[in-house]
Amino acid sequence: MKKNLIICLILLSTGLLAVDNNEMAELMPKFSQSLYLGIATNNTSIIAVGERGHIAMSNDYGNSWQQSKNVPTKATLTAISIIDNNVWAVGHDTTIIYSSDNGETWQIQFEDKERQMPLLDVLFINESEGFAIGAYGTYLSTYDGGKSWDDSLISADQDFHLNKIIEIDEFKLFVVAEAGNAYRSFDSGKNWESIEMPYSGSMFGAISYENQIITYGLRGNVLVSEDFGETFTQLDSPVQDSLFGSEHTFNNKIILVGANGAVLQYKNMSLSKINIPDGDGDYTEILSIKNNKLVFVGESGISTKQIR
Amino acid sequence: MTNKNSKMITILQNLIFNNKKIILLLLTIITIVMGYFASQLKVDAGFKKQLPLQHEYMKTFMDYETEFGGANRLLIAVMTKDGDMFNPSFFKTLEAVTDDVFSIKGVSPASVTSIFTPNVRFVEVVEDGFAGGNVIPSDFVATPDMFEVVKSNIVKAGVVGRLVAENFNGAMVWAELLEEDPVSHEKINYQDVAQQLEEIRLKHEKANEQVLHVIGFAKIVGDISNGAKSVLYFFAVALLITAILLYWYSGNVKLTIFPLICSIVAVVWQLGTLKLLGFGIDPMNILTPFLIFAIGVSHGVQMISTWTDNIVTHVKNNWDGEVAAKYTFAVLLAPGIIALLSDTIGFATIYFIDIRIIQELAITATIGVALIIITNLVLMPILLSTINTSNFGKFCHRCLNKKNTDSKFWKAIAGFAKNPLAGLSVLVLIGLFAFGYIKSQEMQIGDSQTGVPELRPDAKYNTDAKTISSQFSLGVDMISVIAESSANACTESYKAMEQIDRFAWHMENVPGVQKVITLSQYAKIITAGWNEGNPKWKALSRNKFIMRQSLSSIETDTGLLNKDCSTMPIMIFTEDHKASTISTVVAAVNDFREKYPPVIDKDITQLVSAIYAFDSTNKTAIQSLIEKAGKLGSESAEKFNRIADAVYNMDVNDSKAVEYLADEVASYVLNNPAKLTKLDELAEGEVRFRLATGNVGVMAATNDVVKAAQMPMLILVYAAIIILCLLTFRTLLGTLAIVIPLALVSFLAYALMAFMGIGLKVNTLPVVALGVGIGVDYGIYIFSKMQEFLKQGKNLHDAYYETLRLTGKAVFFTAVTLAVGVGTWMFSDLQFQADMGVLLAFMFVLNMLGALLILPSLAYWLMPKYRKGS
Repeated sequence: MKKNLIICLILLSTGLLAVDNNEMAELMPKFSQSLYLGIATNNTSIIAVGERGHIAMSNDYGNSWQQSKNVPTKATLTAISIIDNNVWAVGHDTTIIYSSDNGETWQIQFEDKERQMPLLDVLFINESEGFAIGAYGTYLSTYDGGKSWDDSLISADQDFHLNKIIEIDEFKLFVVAEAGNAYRSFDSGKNWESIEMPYSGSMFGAISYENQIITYGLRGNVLVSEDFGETFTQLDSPVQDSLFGSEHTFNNKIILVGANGAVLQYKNMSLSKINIPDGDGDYTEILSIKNNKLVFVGESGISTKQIR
Repeated sequence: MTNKNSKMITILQNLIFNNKKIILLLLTIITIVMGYFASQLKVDAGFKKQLPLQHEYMKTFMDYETEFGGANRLLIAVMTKDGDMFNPSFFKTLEAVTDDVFSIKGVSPASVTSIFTPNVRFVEVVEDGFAGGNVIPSDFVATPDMFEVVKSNIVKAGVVGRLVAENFNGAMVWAELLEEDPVSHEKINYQDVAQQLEEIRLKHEKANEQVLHVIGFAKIVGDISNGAKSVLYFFAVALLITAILLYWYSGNVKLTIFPLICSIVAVVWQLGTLKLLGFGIDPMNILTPFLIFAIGVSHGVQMISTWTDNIVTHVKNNWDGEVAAKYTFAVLLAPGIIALLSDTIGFATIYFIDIRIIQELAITATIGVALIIITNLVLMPILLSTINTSNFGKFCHRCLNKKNTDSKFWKAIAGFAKNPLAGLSVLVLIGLFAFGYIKSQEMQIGDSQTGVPELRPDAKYNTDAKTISSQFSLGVDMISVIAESSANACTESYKAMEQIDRFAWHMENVPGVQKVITLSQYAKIITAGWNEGNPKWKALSRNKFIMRQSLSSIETDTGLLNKDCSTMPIMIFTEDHKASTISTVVAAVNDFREKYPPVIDKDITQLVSAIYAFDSTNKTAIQSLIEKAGKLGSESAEKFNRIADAVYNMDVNDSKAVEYLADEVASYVLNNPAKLTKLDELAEGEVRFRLATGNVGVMAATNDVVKAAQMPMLILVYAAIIILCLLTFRTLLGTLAIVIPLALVSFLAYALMAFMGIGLKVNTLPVVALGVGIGVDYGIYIFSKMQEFLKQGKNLHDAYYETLRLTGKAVFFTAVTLAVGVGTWMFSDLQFQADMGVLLAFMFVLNMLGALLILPSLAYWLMPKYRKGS
């Protein structure tokens, strides 16, 4: 009995030693009021990621939030992707972390602090096939759920920051990047071709809707392509604020969000401004959940709002 | 009293009464001279005087005062009466106010900040990079279009909530005051600054349709000084009340006037002495003269009471004032001196609190009480001896009648010297002790209210402060923690910046903290800015190039970093400055410091001390420096490179090499002036968080000092009183009977403070010590008289009854008179004066009740052998 206890203690202490506490994200009371950059849901949980390795989780449709307790990084996390109970988050220090249990426990799949580059987006199209993109054309891909990552560049001769990767259909993928650049793939990300967009500013995001790709970015610019990036139509934008996030809501609306509390609705090649109660700061992403509720994340944290 | 003592008294008696004309003349001359000096006394307020300069936090404060400014800030808010600020009139006013603030003497020009000053800039992201500029464009004209531009610049500059009100209905001008002119070392005059601020307010409020709100230490001093002028009226009122009551008590004009004269003389001498010592009178300290006056009256009443009592015992129609005066002198010299010495010591103990302003108060009060020994124990008997005894018959008959008729009132009180009242009284004592002790635990150290507690909650200053903190998101309460790191840490050390950023975030999570501002946050915002404002880049970069790019545009005048970027303050804005808030924040800082102590570099520490100790004429010093610099190796920090080069292969005897080294050392010392606080040098990338500057930092230090001083101070006061009582009365149990009621009153005073929400702080701490000092007088006079009767063989009850009729009456009278006098302070414009008035009145009355009701009961239980006379 005593012996068992001692062994238990030894195991416990070695277990504690194995994790460098200084590398773990810290649990803080105001965790939900700091910068959040990505949010996703698998219909049982909503998970948002942000600065200092903060991961916030809600199991009650955004009414209450808990901080995930064992995140093995303090790096700022920039994006998240969920397939069933599998969750991947990426961020600065070229970090990729993974959870197989709906965000309860996490492990590092990839990290390279010395590279001094952030990953800016992650997309898994099924539980084994995924892509992480980031600064200076960084393009990581996996076919085994992230057990091994192929570390590469999207283009051999360009080093633009890659901001967002989206899935158009079974094979087509689309990436928006810095300074009017975009990339498309017809073969699930094996090969990429470069596209020059008509607007020279950066596009921070894109969303696919029916046969359209709606791209949005610097200073409120929104460009729409109906032919997988062959041609783009620039829309009249009611705002000058940069747009960072988007969502296709349950009631079939396309909502864009961005700096200085900007919230826009896209419909039939036109944009309109939506006034949000208590809108403040920069919004970085938005998520539609049931009961017509939207979860906004951004500079001042997470807020759940009801919108007609 | 021993024979030796009475011999001494006789000698003194003869000395004084035989030379009374000379002494009187001398005292008059001294009074005239002192009066002259007293009239020269100037009001002298200071910010640093209020700081406990020896406290760790205040050393940090002094170390960085020139680099980051202290807590001596002025905020002037210009608010519109209605509507928003975007109209020509508002901008004209704001610009004019900004200009006017520059012209205030004592304002550091570089520190003046408003949207009109060039140190406020905005940055915006455009397609091809960054655009930036002054918030108010150089081609500003008051047109609607231009106002749109200015409004968006304000938002981009991130000053909404700081320099501009949250809903754009006003804007602020900030400035830092330098207490000493950096060149001439001339001290600024706070009242002048306050006056100029008031003129700025009047000028612009009159001319335009804006309202101005002004806050800052200088304004507080101005308002307190103005309020303190009313102290003179209160002094006059107290004098009048005392005179009326004295006349009612003594029934004689001369007996009314003499104690007043003696007390006023003591005050005049006290003020004169202050001037001679080179002090001014601080507005916070303006109440001490009144206290001296009060103590003087208290002792004077004992004098006239004893004198009256004695004179009527003389043979009929042979009332001799001088004989009675001599008797009074002899009887009251010992208890008088003991009582006054206890007061003196009580006041002197306050000196141990290491805050200049309190020490000044201690000196002022100690001198004052010491002077009362002369005015009351020398001047008063002489004055009494001059009373012309012809036409005195009526007075004496009345007194005699009074003396010979039994007093029902005093008879009843005397019941406390025997059971059942004695038992009841002790039970009540125990109950009150328990109550007082429990309630006193609720007393706060420091301020327990928001606003400036020296002024009334509804005073102009406090409503101004309230307006400013409600219209601007940053309150006026700030504690600034200074992060020290290695040179250029902000760009070259990710580790250091990450640590500072983490600390700031920890502080933001502390309850009571409103907002935290520090350089790392700006670094993140600007890094995102360089990446087209994309918030995904809003993080500290490990890339030194990116950090340099981000931080190169941030100037030292932002107050976010020092010249070589080795020091960065973390400004923590708190919701208020209540003691509980402060201690929560300080505890959180200490917690973080304990968790992440910085690593010290011993070699660099030794090198730096060798550099400061360098002396080109001292070979050992040179040798030591060569040795320490040699140890560093090639990996040493950049700032030591030149010294390391200079000592490389150096020969101590080569005078040219020594001279060269001396130059390098001198240039190092010039660029890195030694700090007041000698701390070890940090290893590369380590961060030391130092508490603290900012007004809340000052309060944190003050609260610490007050808290630490409170117990030792009380122990000293009580020890002194106990020793003095033991020496005089030579009875331990009697001493206990005197001291226990005092201790009860101390506890009850704390309980009252808890009840009224008065915190224990610089202003109130002395009151408690003063209260004990004054309270003990009552006990000493009563016990001394009672002991005399007991020695004559009377039983306790009778002895006490006789004591009451004489001394007790005087004690009762004095306490009531003084309580009414200080009670009038409740109507003062100054909150701290009102608080002190309530506290002092409470202590006067309770000490009196303690001496009259509890002392005899304790004597009954503690000294049973006197229950029956011999």
